[in-house]
Amino acid sequence: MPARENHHPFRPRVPEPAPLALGEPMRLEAVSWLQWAEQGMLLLALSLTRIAAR
Amino acid sequence: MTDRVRTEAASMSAFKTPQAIGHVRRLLMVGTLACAACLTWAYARIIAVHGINAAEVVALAAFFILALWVSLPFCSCLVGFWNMTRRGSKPRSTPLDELPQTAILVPIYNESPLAVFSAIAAMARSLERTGRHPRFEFFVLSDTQLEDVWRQEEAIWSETSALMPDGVPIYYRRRSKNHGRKAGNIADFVRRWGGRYELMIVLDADSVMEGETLVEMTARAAADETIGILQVPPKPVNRGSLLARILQFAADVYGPVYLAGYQSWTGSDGNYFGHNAVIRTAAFAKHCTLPVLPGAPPLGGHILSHDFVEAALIRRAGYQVVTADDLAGSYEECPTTLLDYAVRDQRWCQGNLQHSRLLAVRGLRPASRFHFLNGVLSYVSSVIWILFMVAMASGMLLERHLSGTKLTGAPALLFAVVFLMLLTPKFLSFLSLRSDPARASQLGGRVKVAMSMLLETGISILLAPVLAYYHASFVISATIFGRSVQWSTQSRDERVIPVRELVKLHLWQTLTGVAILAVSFAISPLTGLWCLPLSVGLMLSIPIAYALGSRSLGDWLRARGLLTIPEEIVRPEILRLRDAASEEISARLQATDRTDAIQNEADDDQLRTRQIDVLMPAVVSS
Repeated sequence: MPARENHHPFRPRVPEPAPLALGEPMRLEAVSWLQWAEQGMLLLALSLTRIAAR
Repeated sequence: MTDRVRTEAASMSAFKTPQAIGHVRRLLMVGTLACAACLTWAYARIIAVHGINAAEVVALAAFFILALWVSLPFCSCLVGFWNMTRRGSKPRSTPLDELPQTAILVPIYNESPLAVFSAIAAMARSLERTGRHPRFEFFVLSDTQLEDVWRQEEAIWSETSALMPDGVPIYYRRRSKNHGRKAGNIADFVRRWGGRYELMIVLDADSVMEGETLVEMTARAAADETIGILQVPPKPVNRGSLLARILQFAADVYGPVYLAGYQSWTGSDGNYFGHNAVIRTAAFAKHCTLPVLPGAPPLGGHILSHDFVEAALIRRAGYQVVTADDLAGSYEECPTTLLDYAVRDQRWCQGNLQHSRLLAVRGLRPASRFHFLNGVLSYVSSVIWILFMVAMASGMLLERHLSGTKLTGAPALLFAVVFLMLLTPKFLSFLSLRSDPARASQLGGRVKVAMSMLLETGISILLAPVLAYYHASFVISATIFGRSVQWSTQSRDERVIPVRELVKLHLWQTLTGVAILAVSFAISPLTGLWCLPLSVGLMLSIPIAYALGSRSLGDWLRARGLLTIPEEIVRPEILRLRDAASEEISARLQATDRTDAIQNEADDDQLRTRQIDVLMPAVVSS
């Protein structure tokens, strides 16, 4: 591919390849609703406590 | 770094430590909930006078969500304003050691080649003036599918190559198939050449950045290896229609307060806007590979709004996503007609709706989930608003208390409070000019700014139901009818849309406005009055769209110093360099008898017709 792309008479279209491997695509595993509820309530309680403490 | 690059707007946040950001988040959360709860309680008191029926329960629930939606920016801007007033320190100057090799990526898709390459030549020359230019290499990543545009790109690339300063290459690569669209385009670059560059700056086809800004953002990212993405907020400039002037003015005047508020709670959990940002290439390659969502578009398939997801993924991997709101010299262009604005919004809407499927994905930071939710609600809130209006009217009809105490006194007070909350960021922006006379002067003085703000607010009120109609159409079209947006090129040029086509596009909105007016006044005169902000905007959507797209109206206002931005009074150097480069490239093309490459790539009428065809199903289907 690069050889074909570099046929321009004046200067190279693209530099020499310097590949970088791409990581695994993002996984779509979801957090359970129970964990959501737990974390939400914990966050709210923590926030109210901290604000009250200040 | 000069003062020109140091911003006129917000400086380094007063809330720099994680602890301080944590306090602000808690304050914002509780403040937002408290404001929304108070508003909802007041609304419940009003509708409970004669008991609450089923429709009013729905209205109350919708009202609470809308109250949250109003309260959050209100509280955020209050914090941002306070942050701006406390700010005293100068932005830090990053020591300029040896900069890493950095690629500047310009992904394009059927855009005007002359505009794209002129901007690149201008940025290269601006970089040359910093003396740091040998560390930068430009890549034009073309996904152009139209053959005539592609040929023009080739011709103009060749001529632009000759204009580039020594040591600053400009590479050109075209994919024959635009697999994965823009995200796929960038991924292809990373896969093939990412190993050459520690950092990459991603631009848009209409982006242009000062050389000093490019150097400074690169130096900051190089100096802190924990930075995964550093976003420099782009400022819309260079357009003259009424709509463009409103967008440019709002971004210039209100932007700093909003950004200061945003900065105060995001810290390292910022977001990526898709362009005008520097990215750590290896981290991006390792952690930001996007999934293909299960199912068919619009909610499945390739992710359209890749930027939010990439920010969430690189953040999940432990890198910072920061916003350099103290850097200026970062520009973009905005749509000039309501049609172009709506086409862009439709694409963003579908992209943001896809994010709803990522909200619960394991391992994401809470702030990233919030960015997703915020994006989804940007469009879904319009559906909730319409649901609220319908439920409220139904509730009143069910109770048959149509002209009594329910619509006067307390409701008017509640309406006034909500309205004031919506206007608060504008007031705060105006107040911030008091402490910055130089900036006020750049905008034409405080009187002109106040007049411009009144004008902008009036037009925004008229425009709100039209945009809500569009957004609701897009959401319903995507979620219920499963219609997917077609990937059309965004028109960034000034153009006139004929009245005939405006009528075609806005006919249903006009009829809806007339229907709302008739029904609401049939219920009672007072109900009709309450619904006027909704019905008038829709009824007038055709003349509003015509006026917004008018360049002559924009010029008329500019001549009177209204809706102007500093960049119109003193044109930034980078824009002057771009103008000069455009002329030089055109001259070179003429000299080589390649004038065909100068003409606009897509016939304007064809492009417009295609955009209307894309938009119409969504609008009509609702």
